[in-house]
Amino acid sequence: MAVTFNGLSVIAAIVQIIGGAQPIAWLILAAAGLTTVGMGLALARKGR
Amino acid sequence: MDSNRILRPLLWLLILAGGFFGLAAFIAPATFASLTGFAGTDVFTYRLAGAATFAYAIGLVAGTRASWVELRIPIASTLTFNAASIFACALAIASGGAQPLVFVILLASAVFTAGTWQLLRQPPLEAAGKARAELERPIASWLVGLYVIGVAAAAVFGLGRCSWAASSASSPARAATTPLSTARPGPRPWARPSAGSSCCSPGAGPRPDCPR
Repeated sequence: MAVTFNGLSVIAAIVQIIGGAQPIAWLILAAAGLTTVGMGLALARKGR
Repeated sequence: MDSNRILRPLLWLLILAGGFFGLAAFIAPATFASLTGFAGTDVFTYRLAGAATFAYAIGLVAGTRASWVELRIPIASTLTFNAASIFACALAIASGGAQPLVFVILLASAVFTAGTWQLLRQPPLEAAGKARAELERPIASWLVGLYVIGVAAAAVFGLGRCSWAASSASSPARAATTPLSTARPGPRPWARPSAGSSCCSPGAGPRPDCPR
């Protein structure tokens, strides 16, 4: 659930940045990117 | 209401609703807004809302083969999501000129809130599987840190947006200036206000659908 939401948020932020970014899009890109990587890692390592 | 009987139908209804509305808002936000009578001025917000809604559908699909112990947290999240949705619909209706879709979402959210509340109140026996003891194991401390960051971000963006919406609903002048305003300009026959109503207050300025 978290990976889906944050992964799609990364895509949305990238689309927004390409079309003329607002500062919030960069913030969301960073936060969602970090969370996507972290949650992906957590799933791959089964929480270890 | 028997939790065992409602679990599967409710789960699939939530998956279908979340999948459709989530993907529609994410893939084609402007078209989705136009078809449902909204202005669609803030496409980025539509996409984020679509991403969140679609993520619930994915989480619940993963939960279709899960035990109740595994499923209870996504169900509690779904309850929170739909209760907040009722709050958002109530604000939209109270501020006047709500689109018909708002009433559909209000009805669906009420059904989903009642259903998920029932499941949490009386957990279904049908969703048997791994017991709590089998699932309980310590997780890495870095993951706990990530959860804390996630909770803080959700609190700031989620509750912050809720309080902004609430204050916008109580102050038409502020609502008129919010960049997330979803009201489509122009006449709305289903919500034609009377003279002297709040939509024509000096602070908000006359709207196109106010009687002259």
